[in-house]
Amino acid sequence: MTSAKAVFTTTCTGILAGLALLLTSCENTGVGPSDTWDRAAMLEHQTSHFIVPAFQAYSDAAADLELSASAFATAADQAHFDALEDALGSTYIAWQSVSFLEVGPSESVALRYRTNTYPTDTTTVIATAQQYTGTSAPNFQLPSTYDQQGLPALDYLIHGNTLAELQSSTELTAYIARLAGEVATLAQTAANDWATQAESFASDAGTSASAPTNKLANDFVFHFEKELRAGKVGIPAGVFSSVTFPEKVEARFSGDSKALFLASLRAHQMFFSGTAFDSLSTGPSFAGYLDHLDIKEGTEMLSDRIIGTFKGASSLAAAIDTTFEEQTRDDAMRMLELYDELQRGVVLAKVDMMQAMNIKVDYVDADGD
Amino acid sequence: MATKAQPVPLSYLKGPTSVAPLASFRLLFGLLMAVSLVRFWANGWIESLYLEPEFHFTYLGLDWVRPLGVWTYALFGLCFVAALAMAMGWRYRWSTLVFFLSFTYIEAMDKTTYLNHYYFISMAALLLLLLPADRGFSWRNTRDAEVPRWMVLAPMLFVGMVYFYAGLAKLNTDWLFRAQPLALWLPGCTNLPIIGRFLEQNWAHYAFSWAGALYDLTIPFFLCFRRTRPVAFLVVIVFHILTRVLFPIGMFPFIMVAAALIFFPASAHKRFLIPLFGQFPQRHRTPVSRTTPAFAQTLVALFLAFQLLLPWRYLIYPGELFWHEQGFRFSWRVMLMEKQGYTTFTCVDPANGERWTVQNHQFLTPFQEKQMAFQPDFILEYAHHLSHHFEQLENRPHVQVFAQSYVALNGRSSQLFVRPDVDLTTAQRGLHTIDWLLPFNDTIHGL
Repeated sequence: MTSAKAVFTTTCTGILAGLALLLTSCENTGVGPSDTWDRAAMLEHQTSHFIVPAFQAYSDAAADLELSASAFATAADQAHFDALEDALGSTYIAWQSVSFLEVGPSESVALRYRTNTYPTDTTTVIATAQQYTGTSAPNFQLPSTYDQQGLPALDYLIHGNTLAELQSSTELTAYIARLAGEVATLAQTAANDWATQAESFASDAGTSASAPTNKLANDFVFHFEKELRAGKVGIPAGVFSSVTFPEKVEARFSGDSKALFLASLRAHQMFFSGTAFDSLSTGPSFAGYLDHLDIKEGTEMLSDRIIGTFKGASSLAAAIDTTFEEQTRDDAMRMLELYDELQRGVVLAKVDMMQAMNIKVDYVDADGD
Repeated sequence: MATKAQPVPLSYLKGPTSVAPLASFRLLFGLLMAVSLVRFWANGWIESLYLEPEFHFTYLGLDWVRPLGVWTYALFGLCFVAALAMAMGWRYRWSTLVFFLSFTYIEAMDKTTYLNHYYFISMAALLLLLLPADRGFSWRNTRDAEVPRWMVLAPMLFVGMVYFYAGLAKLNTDWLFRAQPLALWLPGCTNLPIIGRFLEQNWAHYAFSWAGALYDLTIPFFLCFRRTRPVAFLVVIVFHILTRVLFPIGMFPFIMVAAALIFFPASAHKRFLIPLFGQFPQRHRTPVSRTTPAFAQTLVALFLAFQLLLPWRYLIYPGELFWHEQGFRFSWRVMLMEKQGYTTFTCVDPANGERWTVQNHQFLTPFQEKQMAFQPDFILEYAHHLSHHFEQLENRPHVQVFAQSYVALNGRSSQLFVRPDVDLTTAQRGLHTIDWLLPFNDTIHGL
């Protein structure tokens, strides 16, 4: 008994002494100083200076689209057609700033699917439009109709038909107004919900998996990977297939794919680096959080590396002087280069950023150990 | 009660002692397992983890262990019933055998869900199978009974070893001198009352890391001695409550708190067991044979030797264990690293030079993709599956598969993980050293 105790005491003392020795003999190489990062302030800035005004701007654009579409349905002339084209273009651009914000109030209505699932099912869209009676529209809430509505369907109907074709069919113009109305209603609901719920959304600065900050970061990364990288560039460029799919670019009928890509990229960069939606101010952001945590590779800050990939992708895209569809047909290599640059950014965002901010990617409800 | 008299004479090990600690262990373990299984079912995890995925990551040599479709629910039901029967000591050998087999089968269906505590459960069940924990305070005998002392010491040694090895695994420079991964994890808990405000502080990360290592290394010893045991048990409770609050670790804290009770003497257990089982009439008491078959002793000795040796197998493999993970599982390496990856696969059909990148979500659930992205054996198995898939479905006889894989470990920058020039279909699954990984860019010293 006593000898066992002696052995035990010696062992414990030995372990303690060993650990103490290790501690004093080594320099502290841990993460940098971590006084508290104000997650609440970050969330407040992101919500009230980006999300809410971005949704408001999108909702305004969509409301204008709805008005233009109704006006065109009433009087299908060149002037109203031009106005409708402009309104669709502006709405599509405005959409890019809210597309990656499918959290909080906009989470439950499948906003992204219903607004921008492309390529659109042209066969069904035109068939439905030509037989439109004013009440014969499909149930737009069904997932099976996601590729028959939203901005891609409007892009097809408005830009895929000549003015003469549209003028010859009141069904077509009425259906355009109907689809525009759906887009506008969704947009308005989302904007209203955000306006009323922003405060409660931003008040939960928690760190749980369902907390706003975690959801925002996850949707940001998800969108960056799946929409910006894969949807707008990778899929058309044939990254995921043995052949290219130039016809799968976003907004192929208006040929706005490049402008929409750049708008989306810019929105990602602004949100990441804390630039307010009106570009007039900056505030706490993911980039700021990473800088606060002093995350760097060598001397280069992680935030700068991520912004570097945004800038790199931006100049690669800007150098493409045609639509993504034509560029894919002519020389898919330039699209693949753009994809590779985006891929670099996705790795940094999804692995390095998420690990540093301690946010679980694709949170799964299961135990750890 | 001295449990570590030394030198330990054989007569001490074979000497009689009450079955009470073992009976408590059996009872609590069985009940907690029943609760765990109900919780697992109620959370919808049978569906999401075993039935929804089209592809499952298997253990080497256990490829035949698959979910059973809708019968998977029956398997969980069987396991639940066996857990309750084991707890009661009803047809103990059979119920424990059925529990061990069904639980282990469940765990082997998909290694995506591997957790050390699931492995602990399987091994504890195996050990219980070798011990007559139903000899007293059970269905067949509601009163006390005697067992040879080694039968109570064996689970004690096993539980103590789990802690001690978990502690040894923490003796590395990442844990002790970078406070990783706690420095990454604890700031996620700042919304907790009282302690939350400290969890972003650097000193707190170190304090938790060092306290955790010290706890794991010493708690089995403090639990062994009568004078330190009450305080030690209090520490066990506090420690596991804390881990439960800080991390999503399910039932594990409760299981470990229950397991620590094995260190208490029979008298303490009897204070609960006698009133509990005293309510039941004494059943036809099976005569208790004092002799235990020699093979049971041998098997328990083999079991313990196996447990003591298995965690050291990583020493066979060159390179950083946390990086290649060969020998990482089944070794009580708990909460030891924060590792995240992003791995995509490019297929090349040599017949026509066509190449394409795979969208992982078409084959894997988000959970599987996440686990796959940083674990080499997952990456290889999935690459083989992809090649097989394109052979079967697209009639491409041999598709080459290359991985673009980036992994970050314990807060370091991500770096390229798999050699991008290696066609993974040429690599074999197995226990041999993996030669298609790039070396870890840093060094972690320690055990």
